[in-house]
Amino acid sequence: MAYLEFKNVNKIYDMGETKIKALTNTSFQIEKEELVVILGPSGAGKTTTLNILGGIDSLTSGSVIVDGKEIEKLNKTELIKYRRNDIGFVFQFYNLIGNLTALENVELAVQLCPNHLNPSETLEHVGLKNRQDNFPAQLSGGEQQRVAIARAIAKNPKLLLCDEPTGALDYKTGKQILKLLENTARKDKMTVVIITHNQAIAQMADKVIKFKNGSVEDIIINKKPMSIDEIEW
Amino acid sequence: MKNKLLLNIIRKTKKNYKRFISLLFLSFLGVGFYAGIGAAGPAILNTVDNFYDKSNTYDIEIVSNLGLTDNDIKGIKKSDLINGVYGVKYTDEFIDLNKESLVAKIIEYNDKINTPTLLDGNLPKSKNEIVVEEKLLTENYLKIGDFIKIKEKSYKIVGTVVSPLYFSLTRESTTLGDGKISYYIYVYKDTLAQDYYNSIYVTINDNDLKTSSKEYKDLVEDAKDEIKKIQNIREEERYQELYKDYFDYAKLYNLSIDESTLTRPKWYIFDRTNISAYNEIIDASTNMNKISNIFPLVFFIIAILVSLISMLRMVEEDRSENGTLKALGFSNNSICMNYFLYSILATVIGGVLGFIFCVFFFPNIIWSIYKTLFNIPEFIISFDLLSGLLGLIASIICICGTAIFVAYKNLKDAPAILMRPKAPKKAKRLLLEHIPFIWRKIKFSNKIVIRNIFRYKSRVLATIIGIAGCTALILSGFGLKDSMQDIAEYQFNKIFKYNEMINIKEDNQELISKIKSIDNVNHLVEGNISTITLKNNSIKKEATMIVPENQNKLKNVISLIDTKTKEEIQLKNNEIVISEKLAKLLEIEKDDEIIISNSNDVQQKIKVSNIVENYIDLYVYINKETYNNIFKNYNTNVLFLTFDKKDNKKIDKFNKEILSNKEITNIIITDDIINSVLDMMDSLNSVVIILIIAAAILAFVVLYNLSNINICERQREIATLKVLGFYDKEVDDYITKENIILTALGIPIGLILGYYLTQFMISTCEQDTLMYTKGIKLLSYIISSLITIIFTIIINIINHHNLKKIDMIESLKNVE
Repeated sequence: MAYLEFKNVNKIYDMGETKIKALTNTSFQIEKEELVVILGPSGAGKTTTLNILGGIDSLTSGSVIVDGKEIEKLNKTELIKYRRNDIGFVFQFYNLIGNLTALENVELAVQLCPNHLNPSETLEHVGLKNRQDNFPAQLSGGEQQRVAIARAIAKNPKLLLCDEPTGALDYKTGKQILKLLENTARKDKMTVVIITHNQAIAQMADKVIKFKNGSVEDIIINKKPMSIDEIEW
Repeated sequence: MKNKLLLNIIRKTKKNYKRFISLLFLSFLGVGFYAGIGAAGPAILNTVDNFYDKSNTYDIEIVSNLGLTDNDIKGIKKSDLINGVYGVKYTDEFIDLNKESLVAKIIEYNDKINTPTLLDGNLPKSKNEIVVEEKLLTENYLKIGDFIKIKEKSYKIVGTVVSPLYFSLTRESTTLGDGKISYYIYVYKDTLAQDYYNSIYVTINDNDLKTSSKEYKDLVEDAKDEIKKIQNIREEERYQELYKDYFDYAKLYNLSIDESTLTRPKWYIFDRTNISAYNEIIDASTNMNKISNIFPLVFFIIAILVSLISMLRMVEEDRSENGTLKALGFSNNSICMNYFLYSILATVIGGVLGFIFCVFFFPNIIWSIYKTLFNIPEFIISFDLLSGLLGLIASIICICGTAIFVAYKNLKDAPAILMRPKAPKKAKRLLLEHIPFIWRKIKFSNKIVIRNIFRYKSRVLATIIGIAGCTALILSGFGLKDSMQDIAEYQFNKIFKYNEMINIKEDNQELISKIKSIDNVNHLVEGNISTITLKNNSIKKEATMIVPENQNKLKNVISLIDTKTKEEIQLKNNEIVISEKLAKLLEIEKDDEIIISNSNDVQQKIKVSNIVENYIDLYVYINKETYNNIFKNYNTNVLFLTFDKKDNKKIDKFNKEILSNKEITNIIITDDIINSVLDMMDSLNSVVIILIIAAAILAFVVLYNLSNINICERQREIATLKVLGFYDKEVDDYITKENIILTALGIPIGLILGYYLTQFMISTCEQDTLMYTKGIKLLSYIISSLITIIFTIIINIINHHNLKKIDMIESLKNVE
């Protein structure tokens, strides 16, 4: 059985008068330590998929199994525990707590998990050794995203989920961030899922899952994924 | 185009109806309370003004030591100022009621001047019919149609009335009996035998001026001056009239006359302030006005402050939306108009509703309390639209003004800047963080709370002020209650220890020893009681003077406790002991000298040896030697007793036994007084409870509002915490701890403020005859704090639900 299994998942948003089908019979699998890119135009169901994976959204039918855990069957508290221990989230807009320094933002997350990494070392790892005591407002976009990644990986999660992590960044900075995520997958042996609408990035992934109109259109396995350094777009 | 904007704001109102309602409610409370409490004072004044107009109450009263005649009436000519001149006859008499013999004021009924208002039954139509005050019937188990005896003659009670001269519980003093008039009675005209008038009453052309207004007082003074012009002439003429026969006789026989032996007529000219009930109600109205200056103002400020923060938040929330609107080509004005409409709608609806409701509610509630003290049949609510409008305008200016101000300030930037998220507020390191040995010891989650507190300074400050203000209001409510509540207990447990006070006609040793011998009587202390006048420069006050027959025995029934040393003191020869409130009113201190005089105009300068604790009424004490030196001929007219056992059956039996004795004029049972004082306190308590409830409601709205703003402000942050895997409780803590800290800071400040607020309110609204204790009980501090704490807990519970509702996905989707 795969490390992560997304099986016949349907997601319908009930908006009262109208029902919006976000996901229809979506299925895919992710193996441990894989670097996965989910590709597709906006409205294809990428984010919904990621949210369900991350335990911040529920599914209407189907099942999601992560490391043997059936996510759809978890109750509210178990779901929080799942988010807490198993998931690291990176957002397009960083979502740092403005009132906490870079280091404290990481500490905020790790205080929750028992198996966490050292916050200070993690920040050093993402290249922010000298910016630890700065507040988000004093950091550039790329630096803020690094803090966000550090915050996610310091929890030592089973799954690192990134929703358009470079969406708000320029090319060069975006590339640095992707490099960081690549290293996290390859060197730190973490399972990483990245959402993007940038086709070029797909080449760095072990597996590319293409979404269209709320379901999986294609799954491509890259036998030889390229390093982000070699990719230009 | 504007219509769509309007639609947008209506939708916004619907979506965030809680904010709209809380704005509306704040305006309701602020304006309503301000106008409502503010209307109570003027309503009381209007009530007495209306009552006095309807009962043709005099404006000027003239009395003379030798009576007044028709010639005097003719002498006071009608003029532009003077409208009517009337002579009235009255007298003080003993009346026989059941076993009691009390003094009543007997007045000839007159439908032109000081006309009593008929409450029940009919007016007297013949010389053997009378109307009485209601109290006389209820206190003596009489009814209309019953007969009572005045000077051995029987009169039929045909109705009950309220006199404009005696509509409160206070009665003037008399030389008869124990010196107190118990009731007033109106008899048919020409019933009284005397051939002179006791008073001439003058009404002035006051052009509907409100009584006690400055214009009214000025007019009265002018009229008085006019009367004074003829005073000497009339006094001389009256002198000649009175002694005409005497002078004629002397002339006839050519005898010389020693005129110094003849009493010369002397006029005394008074105005309405000579009526104690009138003074009391004017005081009540003034006091109400004083309370309404401070209490609702605090209320109003808090309400405005919180609404202001609310509006500020709303405009900031809409920042990017407004940027978009601006980019679409809307003018700043039309965008601002929305906030103006939104805020003015909430403020005006809330304010107008608050005004309408409270302007009836508060005066009526407050009158229902004063009604037990003032017997005025008709209550007139005054519509002081001005004060309501003032509150409304103030809140419109503050709330709508801020809305517009903030909106314009926010819209100043270019649309592109507005549409981008606002640069996060720069967080700063706190001073505390530079003290590592403290900062390191603080738990991480607490560090965040502390930083948050310093980040949102304006909201935090508003919350602390709000909590402190409300706690202060609640405490001052309880404080007022405490200060009034204990005075009965203090007076009758600590000061007056006697169980009964018996007024007897004259030194009657036989009676005294008989009472002494009755079973169950423990202490019996003889004394003399009378009313005297005390004067310090221009200040004049009346007080009850108690003279013990044996001053060493006095402590068995009355404790004289010095206010400073708290020790029991002794009466000294040729010195006087006066009660605390009286000293305050006379503005004198220990060792000062004052002038005392009795009803026979014996005057004496005397040194104040001590000031003693006393809470109800005004008392002075001198010993028997001093009395004999000044007023001569001490005689016992009162007995103070204590019982061995407080057995009601035994006491009842005792009362019946001694009341049959004709020598006893009155019995005052301490328990009865305690009960009547407690009744009065109960009614005052209900005013206070209204204040407490109002303050509590405000506290709740304030806390709710501020904490709602707090959550809205940090929705995104909270969503992030949820994604990170914070448990509900941990998310709650993030907000709750802050609330708890702010409450913990606000409460002590509120308690301190409340203490001073209480002192201030007491010092402004205390009546002359009461001495509030000024002590706020520990329990009140605790309860006030608890109420605020309970609100914080309730708000935290509500927060918990609101926090639960925050949708992670929605909040994280895009930047606000």
